[in-house]
Amino acid sequence: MKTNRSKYSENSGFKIPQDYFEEFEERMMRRLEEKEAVKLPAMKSGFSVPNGYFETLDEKIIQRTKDAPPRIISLFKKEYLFYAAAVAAIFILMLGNFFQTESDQPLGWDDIEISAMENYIDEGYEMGFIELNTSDYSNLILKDGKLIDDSDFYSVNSDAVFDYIDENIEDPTYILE
Amino acid sequence: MSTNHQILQYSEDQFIERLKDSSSAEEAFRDLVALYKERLYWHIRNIVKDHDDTDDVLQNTFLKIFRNIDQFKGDSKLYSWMYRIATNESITFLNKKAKRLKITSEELQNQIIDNLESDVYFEGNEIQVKLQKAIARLPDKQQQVFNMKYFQELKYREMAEILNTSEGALKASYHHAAKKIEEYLKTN
Repeated sequence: MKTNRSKYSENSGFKIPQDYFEEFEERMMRRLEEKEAVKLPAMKSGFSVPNGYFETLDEKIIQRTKDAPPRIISLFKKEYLFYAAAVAAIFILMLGNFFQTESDQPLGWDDIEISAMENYIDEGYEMGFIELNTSDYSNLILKDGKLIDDSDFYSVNSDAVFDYIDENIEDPTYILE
Repeated sequence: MSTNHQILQYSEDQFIERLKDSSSAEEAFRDLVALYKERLYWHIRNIVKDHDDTDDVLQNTFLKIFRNIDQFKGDSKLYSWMYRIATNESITFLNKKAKRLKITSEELQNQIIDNLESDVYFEGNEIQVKLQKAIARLPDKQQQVFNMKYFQELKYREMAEILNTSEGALKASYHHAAKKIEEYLKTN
């Protein structure tokens, strides 16, 4: 019967102390720690914060949780369908005649951060630079509860999509991962 | 990781329940912010470096924690989940910033370090600037490990939870980082 015994075991006649291998990792790690401990002198990062920053921070954060719309229900509330429509409009435009596909590189939802896109649309609506007159597109968006069919992306060249968003959206990096 | 009296009244499971229960969520969230704001601030600050950027990322981090607490399944400790969110938010923020400025992440790092000396919220001396330059030259993962160990003084066990890596690998990673930094400080 085969065992896990090393082929280098006792044939040479050399012996090792009891528990040598069991303690090896521990000792090795201790040496690493000793080595690192003597290398660098303790230093602060040098970063500082404005006076009173941490005292006012709690309220700022709590206020933001109250101001921000809940994300989970947003896609399913009626008024948010229009936001989704605006998002979809971007893609529908892209899926039209704007681009010639140069390669078959697929673009999927993994490339788009949905929550960031939602936030972008939310903020865009509030700031007034996105007009929600895109209801014509709404039938194309929610199909079987999905925003858009992933397969629609397979014919789109990703560079072209990114270029389009880059040129047409004020802060494209907010949307693109 | 040490906790303060607000959270010590409850076990972690009880505290998470309070966060998830709408009748106690706000009070529990206030406790959470009070307890973790500084730790997460410095964790983020060590990654993004600039105070205003850190403030943005920190607020977004807490907002994400607040909105997603129902998704927290308790597979890891709450603090490690929050640190992971903070780390991801910081890295995503830097990537987006680099894209917006149409430069590479490496170029952005250099730009950030070059701006340090004129930053009113950086009070470091020459050697501290040099240390930041040395850190910026490390691979991303080593930077994280180094910052967490050297500046934040987290334990390897805590880092292993946050970064989902073995303690042995983290020790080795810190050792490599410290060695490279030492070399840089000696030769520059």
